[in-house]
Amino acid sequence: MKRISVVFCLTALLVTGCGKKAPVKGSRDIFAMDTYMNLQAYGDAPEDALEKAETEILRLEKLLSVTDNNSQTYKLNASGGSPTEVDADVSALIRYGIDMGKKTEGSLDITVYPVLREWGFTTGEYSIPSDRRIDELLKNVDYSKIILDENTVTLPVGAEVDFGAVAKGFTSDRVMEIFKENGVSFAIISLGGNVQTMGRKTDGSLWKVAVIDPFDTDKTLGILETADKAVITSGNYERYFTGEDGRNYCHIIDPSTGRPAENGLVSVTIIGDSGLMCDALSTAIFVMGRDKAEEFWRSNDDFEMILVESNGKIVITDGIEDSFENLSKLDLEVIAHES
Amino acid sequence: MLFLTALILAAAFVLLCGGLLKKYPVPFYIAAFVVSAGAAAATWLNIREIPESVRFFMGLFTRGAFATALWCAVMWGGAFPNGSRAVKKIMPIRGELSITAAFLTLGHNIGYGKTYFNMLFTNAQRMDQGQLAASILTIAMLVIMIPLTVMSFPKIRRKMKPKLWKNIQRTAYLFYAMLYIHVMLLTFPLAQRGRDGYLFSVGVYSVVFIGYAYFRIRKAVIRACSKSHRARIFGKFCRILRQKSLPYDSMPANFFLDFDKIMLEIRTRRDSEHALKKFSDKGRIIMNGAAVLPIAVIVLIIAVGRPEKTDIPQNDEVRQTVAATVPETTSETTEATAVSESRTEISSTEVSETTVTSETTTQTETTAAAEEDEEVPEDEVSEENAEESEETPVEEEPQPEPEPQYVYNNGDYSASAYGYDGEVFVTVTIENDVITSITGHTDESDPWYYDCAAGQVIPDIIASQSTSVDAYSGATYSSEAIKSAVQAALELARK
Repeated sequence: MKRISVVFCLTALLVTGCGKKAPVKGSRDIFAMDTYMNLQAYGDAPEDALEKAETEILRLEKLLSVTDNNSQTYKLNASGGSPTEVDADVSALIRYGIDMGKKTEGSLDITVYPVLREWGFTTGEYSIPSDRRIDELLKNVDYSKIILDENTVTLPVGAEVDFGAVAKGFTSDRVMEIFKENGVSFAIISLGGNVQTMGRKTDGSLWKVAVIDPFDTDKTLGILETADKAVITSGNYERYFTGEDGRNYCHIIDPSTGRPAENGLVSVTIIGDSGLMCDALSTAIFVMGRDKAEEFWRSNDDFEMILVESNGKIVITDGIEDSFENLSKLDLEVIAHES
Repeated sequence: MLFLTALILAAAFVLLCGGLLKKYPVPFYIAAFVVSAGAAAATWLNIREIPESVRFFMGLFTRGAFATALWCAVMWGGAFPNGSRAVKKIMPIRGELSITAAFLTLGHNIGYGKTYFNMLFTNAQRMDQGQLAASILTIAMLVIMIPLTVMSFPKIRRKMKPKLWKNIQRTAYLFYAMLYIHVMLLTFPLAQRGRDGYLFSVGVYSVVFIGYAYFRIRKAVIRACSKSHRARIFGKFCRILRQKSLPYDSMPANFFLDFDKIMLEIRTRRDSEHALKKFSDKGRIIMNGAAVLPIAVIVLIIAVGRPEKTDIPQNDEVRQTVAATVPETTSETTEATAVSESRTEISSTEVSETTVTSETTTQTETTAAAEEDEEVPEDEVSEENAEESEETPVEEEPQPEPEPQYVYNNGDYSASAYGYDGEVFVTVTIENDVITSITGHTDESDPWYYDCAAGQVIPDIIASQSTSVDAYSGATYSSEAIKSAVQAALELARK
């Protein structure tokens, strides 16, 4: 029966002369960078592209991990202040980290790692460090002290870098590049909730990306229709622990205080062309809080954002006003560039 | 005879009341408590003038026969072949059944405790050896049963680390072994003395318990043998884990060390698909060969229990049963978490293929190749599914209703996909091309991820009648797997 229908379909195609070949879908699940990744690509031969993407993801992971003794990042952090030659990708990320640090006035600081570790977010052995300990560690937190000369990096003694806030975004940009080079024309990938899309869906419609409700992670805050964009969310619900004092401490550290960021935001979603930028900004803006975030957005026109405030209000920028559907019961406020 | 009746009643209870028990467990617990209290009271009061039939019926509860039969249902839930109706029926209500059984068991313990615990603590030398051993055993069993029962309440369970919970629950194997020994200690001597019906009881108990041990071990051996199936994906997973970890999302450091070990083990066992099939076949052959063993043991027990042979072997024999049961349970404990090795494969490769076909078909631009492909994964998925879909609460097999205007067959369809670090199973109910319900569960080490994702994805799918949201921004883990599994289930349902 199946064969008959195949023959029938083929005949129908020939008769109608409809020779257009539908793109083939390929999909891959990868566990890397401590998270679950799903890549879906449509093209003539998506498997090739997926294979290359996976290889690259694993390579980057090996390069960027701060806990793997053999990674360049690990070696750099153990360099004790001496100049260290690193891979071009690592130096590019450091360069980007320094630039983003400047741009966000330190809201993103790739040298906050020793503080993060002290809180236990790297090991799962959470503890609340003493004020003195935090102050001590904060002395070494300053992205601007990194000296970068081509691919040679010099970290001040005691300083350590990590790419937790940028690695997945960097990786998703890279996956998209690989897809483009390998004949993939439509794609959607999710690297542990960091979503990036290429083109539209095969039927020409926009990708529907759901944003998680930070107050109830079982629910969807809303759906964003998008194409060719990265949609990356940072939230305090992702990884946190409850201290002995009964308070919750989230994994996003404010580099200015050395403590989990508490500036009135519970979730930040950044929509933009670059996964790297969206990833970095989702962390930085989470740290900034709403007012600073608004200001920052007004002086930069290369991204849109969805903020969820701890008081239960959604704030979106006007660029996505028409493409975001609020599915929650929370109030929605739209902010515009000229106001 | 009492136990056989209890077994039949327990089976009827699971079949008829299973759904209700799952939905409204509390009334059942209360009922069990009341019955239990009644049984205990009846034993304490020791009312003489009761008609034989009523006495027999009461014995179901006072003598713990019905409770034992429920325990057997709980036990066998883990031993029946994956995907079988019995598994589908029992697995979802295992916790509730255990709690009910525990309540009923306590009634028996309290009733008999009046006499035997009393004697045990005040006048132990008056007890015969069997009674003494059985009473001591009962205390040990209570020590196991009570905490396990408490932990079976979802409220408590949710508060515990899944792995720890599972590990603790494994002491249930010891409990089952003790339960059998307990029963044997009491019935075996009576059978030997030629007491009416006791030989029959020894036989029934032995068939149920030794049969259980055999089938449970068989399942574990087959699973362990085919574990290498998992190696490809799992090995990769471990490799990644070993190397990595970005600080913003990382796991305890020792976690990686553990995985190093596991990986090493897996690497050594790594093998091609063929070899793995051979492995699993090997397991099957070994176990089929070993099938003679439990039968021999049962025959032996019954033979020895025959009243003609009144002399010595009694104790030796009992010891033999202990020896036969205890090491078996320990070997089982080493297995456990590994569920559905072979399904790992389907999820990442076949499922995606079926997805391709579904989409191309809907676009009516089907190519021959895609159509050809469909045959392979579909068959494999359905085969695997029929064989393996463990713990999936499906009640009905697909009903072939020839209604040409619908794209999908009505009925329940189950499929699975690989999620965060384990398999995600879904059952999709379709009525006239409308998804009326999706239920699911996961093997993942931390179901939290699944729960989060399921909460989002399943209502979305039902609401939109397709897997329409393309991705989730924010911390999601298993959502893709749930969607893939639903998609695969839909493919199975496709006419």
